[in-house]
Amino acid sequence: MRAYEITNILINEGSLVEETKKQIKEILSKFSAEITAEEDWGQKTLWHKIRGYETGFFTFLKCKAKPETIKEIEREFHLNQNILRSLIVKEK
Amino acid sequence: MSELELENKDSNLETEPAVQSEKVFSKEEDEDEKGLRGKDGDSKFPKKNPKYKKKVCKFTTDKQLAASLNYKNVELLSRFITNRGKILPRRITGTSAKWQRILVREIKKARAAGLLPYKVQ
Repeated sequence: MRAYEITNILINEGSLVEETKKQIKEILSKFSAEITAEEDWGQKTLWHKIRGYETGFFTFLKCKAKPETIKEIEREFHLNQNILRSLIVKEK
Repeated sequence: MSELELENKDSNLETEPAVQSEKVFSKEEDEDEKGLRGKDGDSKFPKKNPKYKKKVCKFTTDKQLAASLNYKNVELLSRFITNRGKILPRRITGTSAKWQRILVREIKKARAAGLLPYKVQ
Protein backbone atom coordinates (compact mmCIF):
# COMPACT_ATOMS: atom_id res chain seq x y z
CA MET A 1 0.00 0.00 0.00
CA ARG A 2 1.19 3.46 -0.84
CA ALA A 3 -0.13 6.90 0.13
CA TYR A 4 -1.62 9.03 -2.62
CA GLU A 5 -3.17 12.46 -2.90
CA ILE A 6 -6.10 12.96 -5.24
CA THR A 7 -7.39 16.32 -6.43
CA ASN A 8 -10.58 16.40 -8.45
CA ILE A 9 -12.58 19.14 -10.11
CA LEU A 10 -16.26 18.30 -10.22
CA ILE A 11 -19.05 19.89 -12.16
CA ASN A 12 -20.42 22.59 -9.88
CA GLU A 13 -24.17 21.99 -10.06
CA GLY A 14 -26.10 21.60 -6.79
CA SER A 15 -26.85 17.97 -5.99
CA LEU A 16 -24.51 16.68 -8.70
CA VAL A 17 -21.55 17.50 -6.44
CA GLU A 18 -22.70 15.14 -3.67
CA GLU A 19 -23.49 12.48 -6.21
CA THR A 20 -20.06 12.56 -7.82
CA LYS A 21 -18.41 12.53 -4.39
CA LYS A 22 -20.27 9.29 -3.72
CA GLN A 23 -19.18 7.93 -7.08
CA ILE A 24 -15.54 8.75 -6.27
CA LYS A 25 -15.78 6.87 -3.01
CA GLU A 26 -17.37 3.94 -4.80
CA ILE A 27 -14.53 3.83 -7.30
CA LEU A 28 -11.98 3.91 -4.48
CA SER A 29 -13.73 1.18 -2.52
CA LYS A 30 -13.99 -0.91 -5.68
CA PHE A 31 -10.20 -1.02 -5.80
CA SER A 32 -9.97 -1.45 -2.02
CA ALA A 33 -8.32 1.90 -1.35
CA GLU A 34 -8.56 3.36 2.15
CA ILE A 35 -9.48 7.03 2.46
CA THR A 36 -7.38 8.63 5.19
CA ALA A 37 -8.30 12.31 4.84
CA GLU A 38 -10.89 14.34 3.00
CA GLU A 39 -11.15 18.03 2.23
CA ASP A 40 -13.43 20.27 0.24
CA TRP A 41 -11.86 23.34 -1.28
CA GLY A 42 -15.23 24.42 -2.57
CA GLN A 43 -16.25 26.34 -5.61
CA LYS A 44 -13.61 28.18 -7.61
CA THR A 45 -13.60 29.97 -10.91
CA LEU A 46 -11.47 28.14 -13.45
CA TRP A 47 -8.58 29.83 -15.27
CA HIS A 48 -10.02 28.71 -18.57
CA LYS A 49 -13.14 26.86 -19.56
CA ILE A 50 -13.05 23.10 -19.13
CA ARG A 51 -15.67 21.35 -21.24
CA GLY A 52 -17.56 24.63 -21.33
CA TYR A 53 -17.74 25.13 -17.56
CA GLU A 54 -16.54 28.39 -16.01
CA THR A 55 -16.55 27.21 -12.38
CA GLY A 56 -15.70 23.95 -10.68
CA PHE A 57 -16.01 22.29 -7.31
CA PHE A 58 -12.60 21.26 -5.96
CA THR A 59 -12.24 18.20 -3.75
CA PHE A 60 -9.09 16.78 -2.22
CA LEU A 61 -8.51 13.43 -0.53
CA LYS A 62 -5.69 11.30 0.72
CA CYS A 63 -5.85 7.56 0.36
CA LYS A 64 -3.81 4.41 0.58
CA ALA A 65 -3.91 2.13 -2.40
CA LYS A 66 -1.88 -0.52 -4.11
CA PRO A 67 0.39 0.87 -6.85
CA GLU A 68 -1.05 -1.57 -9.39
CA THR A 69 -4.59 -0.34 -8.89
CA ILE A 70 -3.86 3.37 -9.11
CA LYS A 71 -3.78 3.34 -12.90
CA GLU A 72 -7.24 1.79 -12.99
CA ILE A 73 -8.52 4.35 -10.52
CA GLU A 74 -7.15 7.15 -12.67
CA ARG A 75 -8.82 5.63 -15.73
CA GLU A 76 -12.17 5.45 -13.96
CA PHE A 77 -11.85 9.11 -12.98
CA HIS A 78 -11.20 10.07 -16.58
CA LEU A 79 -14.21 8.04 -17.73
CA ASN A 80 -16.56 9.70 -15.25
CA GLN A 81 -18.54 12.43 -16.97
CA ASN A 82 -18.97 14.51 -13.81
CA ILE A 83 -15.25 14.89 -13.12
CA LEU A 84 -13.68 17.69 -15.14
CA ARG A 85 -10.07 17.21 -14.07
CA SER A 86 -8.22 14.87 -11.76
CA LEU A 87 -4.66 14.70 -10.50
CA ILE A 88 -3.18 11.82 -8.52
CA VAL A 89 0.26 12.25 -6.94
CA LYS A 90 2.30 10.25 -4.46
CA GLU A 91 2.32 11.71 -0.98
CA LYS A 92 5.73 12.93 0.17
CA MET B 1 36.28 77.25 -46.00
CA SER B 2 37.14 73.57 -45.69
CA GLU B 3 40.85 74.14 -45.83
CA LEU B 4 40.74 76.72 -43.10
CA GLU B 5 38.75 74.47 -40.78
CA LEU B 6 40.99 71.53 -41.42
CA GLU B 7 43.96 73.62 -40.53
CA ASN B 8 42.31 74.70 -37.33
CA LYS B 9 41.43 71.13 -36.41
CA ASP B 10 44.95 70.00 -37.08
CA SER B 11 46.36 72.62 -34.84
CA ASN B 12 43.90 71.61 -32.09
CA LEU B 13 44.85 67.96 -32.34
CA GLU B 14 48.46 68.81 -31.97
CA THR B 15 48.02 70.81 -28.80
CA GLU B 16 45.23 69.01 -26.87
CA PRO B 17 46.49 65.45 -26.38
CA ALA B 18 49.78 66.69 -25.07
CA VAL B 19 48.02 68.71 -22.37
CA GLN B 20 45.74 65.78 -21.38
CA SER B 21 48.52 63.30 -21.00
CA GLU B 22 50.37 65.71 -18.78
CA LYS B 23 47.33 66.11 -16.54
CA VAL B 24 46.72 62.37 -16.21
CA PHE B 25 50.30 61.78 -15.35
CA SER B 26 50.30 64.40 -12.65
CA LYS B 27 47.07 62.98 -11.10
CA GLU B 28 48.47 59.48 -10.84
CA GLU B 29 51.55 60.77 -9.20
CA ASP B 30 49.53 62.67 -6.60
CA GLU B 31 47.39 59.62 -5.72
CA ASP B 32 50.39 57.40 -5.42
CA GLU B 33 51.97 59.79 -3.00
CA LYS B 34 48.86 59.83 -0.78
CA GLY B 35 48.27 56.07 -1.17
CA LEU B 36 44.81 56.64 -2.66
CA ARG B 37 45.06 54.77 -5.91
CA GLY B 38 41.65 53.30 -6.79
CA LYS B 39 40.10 54.72 -3.62
CA ASP B 40 37.86 57.72 -3.11
CA GLY B 41 38.43 60.69 -0.84
CA ASP B 42 37.71 58.80 2.40
CA SER B 43 40.44 56.28 1.53
CA LYS B 44 37.80 53.56 0.97
CA PHE B 45 37.15 51.53 -2.13
CA PRO B 46 33.91 52.67 -3.79
CA LYS B 47 30.90 50.31 -3.55
CA LYS B 48 30.31 48.26 -6.67
CA ASN B 49 26.81 49.42 -7.58
CA PRO B 50 24.49 50.67 -4.87
CA LYS B 51 21.48 50.41 -7.22
CA TYR B 52 21.25 46.60 -7.07
CA LYS B 53 20.85 44.53 -3.93
CA LYS B 54 22.01 40.95 -4.10
CA LYS B 55 19.08 38.56 -4.41
CA VAL B 56 18.80 35.74 -1.90
CA CYS B 57 16.89 32.51 -2.27
CA LYS B 58 13.74 32.70 -0.18
CA PHE B 59 13.60 28.96 0.40
CA THR B 60 17.15 28.43 1.63
CA THR B 61 16.82 31.28 4.12
CA ASP B 62 13.35 30.38 5.38
CA LYS B 63 12.94 26.69 6.13
CA GLN B 64 9.30 27.02 7.11
CA LEU B 65 8.50 28.55 3.75
CA ALA B 66 10.40 25.75 2.05
CA ALA B 67 8.36 23.16 3.95
CA SER B 68 5.13 24.82 2.85
CA LEU B 69 6.14 24.66 -0.84
CA ASN B 70 3.51 22.41 -2.28
CA TYR B 71 1.31 22.23 -5.34
CA LYS B 72 -1.67 22.96 -3.07
CA ASN B 73 -0.15 26.22 -1.80
CA VAL B 74 -1.36 28.33 -4.70
CA GLU B 75 -0.80 31.62 -2.91
CA LEU B 76 2.93 30.96 -2.64
CA LEU B 77 3.30 29.57 -6.15
CA SER B 78 1.49 32.49 -7.73
CA ARG B 79 4.29 34.78 -6.51
CA PHE B 80 6.65 33.00 -8.89
CA ILE B 81 4.62 33.36 -12.06
CA THR B 82 3.96 36.37 -14.25
CA ASN B 83 0.48 37.80 -14.73
CA ARG B 84 0.49 35.92 -18.04
CA GLY B 85 1.00 32.64 -16.21
CA LYS B 86 4.66 32.11 -17.13
CA ILE B 87 7.17 30.82 -14.59
CA LEU B 88 9.59 33.57 -13.54
CA PRO B 89 13.27 32.84 -14.22
CA ARG B 90 15.82 32.37 -11.48
CA ARG B 91 17.71 35.51 -12.41
CA ILE B 92 14.70 37.61 -11.48
CA THR B 93 13.47 35.87 -8.32
CA GLY B 94 16.91 34.89 -7.00
CA THR B 95 15.82 31.35 -6.17
CA SER B 96 18.63 28.84 -5.88
CA ALA B 97 18.99 26.17 -8.56
CA LYS B 98 17.91 23.40 -6.23
CA TRP B 99 14.74 25.14 -5.12
CA GLN B 100 13.91 26.41 -8.60
CA ARG B 101 13.80 22.80 -9.76
CA ILE B 102 11.40 21.87 -6.97
CA LEU B 103 9.35 25.03 -7.49
CA VAL B 104 8.90 24.36 -11.20
CA ARG B 105 7.81 20.80 -10.47
CA GLU B 106 5.17 22.02 -8.04
CA ILE B 107 3.91 24.74 -10.39
CA LYS B 108 3.49 22.19 -13.15
CA LYS B 109 1.57 19.90 -10.80
CA ALA B 110 -0.71 22.77 -9.81
CA ARG B 111 -1.33 23.50 -13.48
CA ALA B 112 -2.30 19.91 -14.14
CA ALA B 113 -4.74 20.04 -11.20
CA GLY B 114 -6.30 23.20 -12.60
CA LEU B 115 -5.13 25.42 -9.75
CA LEU B 116 -2.81 27.58 -11.86
CA PRO B 117 -3.12 28.69 -15.48
CA TYR B 118 -1.03 27.38 -18.34
CA LYS B 119 -1.60 30.64 -20.12
CA VAL B 120 -3.60 33.81 -19.51
CA GLN B 121 -4.89 35.59 -22.55
